[in-house]
Amino acid sequence: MRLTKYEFKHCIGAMFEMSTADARKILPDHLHPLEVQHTRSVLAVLAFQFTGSEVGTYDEVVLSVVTPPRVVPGEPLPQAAFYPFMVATSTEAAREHAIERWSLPHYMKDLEFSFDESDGQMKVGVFDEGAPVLELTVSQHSFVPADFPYHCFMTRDDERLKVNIFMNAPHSQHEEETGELVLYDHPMTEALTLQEVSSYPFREEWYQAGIQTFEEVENI
Amino acid sequence: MSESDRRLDDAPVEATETTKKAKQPAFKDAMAYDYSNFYSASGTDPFDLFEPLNEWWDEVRPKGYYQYELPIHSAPSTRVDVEDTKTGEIRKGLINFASYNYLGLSYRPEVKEAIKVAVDEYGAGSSGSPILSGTTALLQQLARDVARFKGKEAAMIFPTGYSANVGLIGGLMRAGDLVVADQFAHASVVDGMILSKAQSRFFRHNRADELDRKLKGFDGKKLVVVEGVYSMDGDLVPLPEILEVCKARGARILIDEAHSTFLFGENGRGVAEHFGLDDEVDIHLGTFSKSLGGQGGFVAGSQKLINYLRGFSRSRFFSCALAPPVVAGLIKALELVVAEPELRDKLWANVDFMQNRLRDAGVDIGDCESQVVPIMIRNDATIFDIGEQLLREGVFINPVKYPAVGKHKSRFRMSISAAHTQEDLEEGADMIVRVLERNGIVS
Repeated sequence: MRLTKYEFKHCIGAMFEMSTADARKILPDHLHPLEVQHTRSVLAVLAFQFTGSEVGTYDEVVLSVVTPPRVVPGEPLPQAAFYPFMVATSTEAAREHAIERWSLPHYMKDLEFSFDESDGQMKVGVFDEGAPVLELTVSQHSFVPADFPYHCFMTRDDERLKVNIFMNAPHSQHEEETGELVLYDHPMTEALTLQEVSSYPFREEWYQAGIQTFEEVENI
Repeated sequence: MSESDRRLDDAPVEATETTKKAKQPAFKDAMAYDYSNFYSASGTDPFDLFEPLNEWWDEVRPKGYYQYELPIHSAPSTRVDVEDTKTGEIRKGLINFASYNYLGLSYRPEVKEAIKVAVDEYGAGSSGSPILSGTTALLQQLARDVARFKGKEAAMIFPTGYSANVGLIGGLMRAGDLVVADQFAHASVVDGMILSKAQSRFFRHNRADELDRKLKGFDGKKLVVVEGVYSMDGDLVPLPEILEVCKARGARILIDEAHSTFLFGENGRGVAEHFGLDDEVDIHLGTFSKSLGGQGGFVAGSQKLINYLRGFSRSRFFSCALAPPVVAGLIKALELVVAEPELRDKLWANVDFMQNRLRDAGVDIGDCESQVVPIMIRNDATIFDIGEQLLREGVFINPVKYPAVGKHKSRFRMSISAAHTQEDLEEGADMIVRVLERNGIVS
């Protein structure tokens, strides 16, 4: 089994309510959206500052719909499972690597990222030639060591794919609803009905200075 | 040095590595998981999650989850005998801050005597749906008594408070309608919304501006659902502001007074009376399992509303009617509520004492305005250990953590009763503060 590792300085993430109708349109037929409330599903927004990888250093933003995981005897139960429907990176090399290795759908341009940390908060800005794509603000709770598994689902033509991902880093999470998401009209967000996406997260997460490990892609 | 301790200027981790795929345990740290992790999974067998859940449960139960469903071996009085299922010991005479017996009525001699008389006359159960053969004269009397007490034309009795919400919302609203509830609404409200097939929305807790945003632009039938007292935070609904929005947007309003009927307001009618808005609220709902110490729920409102629900509240007519001995006990308990307003005075004196005592000791009790007092811990990793210490110290109180409340919004949910003596409160407060100090929650 080949393991692929990515070293990161920060992984900032938050979960927002979105319309289940949008989630169903985004997901392939074999996946279903998790509903956090009746007719409300979950948009996960993650931003990474990668400091070590096969393709060097880069920043990345991932928009995903959260789905139920796939329970497999003999494998760790994941903390969560998701289907990334739009990824963007700051370098072409990172983009080509993720498309080829993980079949992740990408916005095909290099984007600019800002990570501003102050007073226990991280504000992430994502820009396309200077125009804003999204702004994500997450605040921290206490950090505890974590080594958590996740399931990531992808598609490649008619193939249904899954990869196990492990996050090993000090981890903070809370549900104080102090964060914020601002989404702008942009090709990255066109699958979403923006006014149906909650502007505040019901959960905020932050991994600091750790390793993200991918196992091999498998067909399901 | 673990990978998570690495500094960024150390030698980089190898970007790829080859290893053998071996069978791995489902959990490295079972306590990092909770019930929400077993809610659903993709796959083909509905039983897929049984094995991992049972594996998880076997590991986490002795680590803290055993504190749920502790059997009590006595009445839910101010002192209670509780079985510590971790050690097998019956812990006797614990100060009880867990039961919802807000007026101490469940074990009053008059209530017990009324139940015994009804057992002799009617036996154990009603043996039928209320729409067919299960309506007893006692049940009709209870409905009349509740309506009179609430100052409404009519009332309908349900077997539980849960079924009252499910039956009311599911019976009244339809596909294409809109129901907007406070984000902290009880599960029974949520389930009623789902069963009704109406569009469901939730507004940020107690935020009238957010409610307005959720109602705006919808032309069809609208129902807003709020609670008199919210059961995890113990705060009140800002009813005047909420009502103003409902009127402006043409929405009906339901107030679930499960934790406030028989307690709030000059006559104990509830939070709606407390705000002087009794007649402005369209539908009043409450339960009998808390302040009246029994079982069941009710809806009170206009006769026309009750007549309509009679035909469409499935949770009522597809259930057996409330058992006659229970109904007899409730009738007597309600008589006592009316005859003894000093019970409420005693409750509020006890609440004032305990809130002040805890606040003065530096305990975070949030925005509590009621007999429900959240003792905030805000650390999901430590609450069970603290709960175990409280149990052994002599206090029966329930830890509440995710998913019942948000992550790291964990707390102990304290219920104050009119029946608590000053000694109960002082001794209990001392024990709680001592344990919290020992754990660095207060200094």
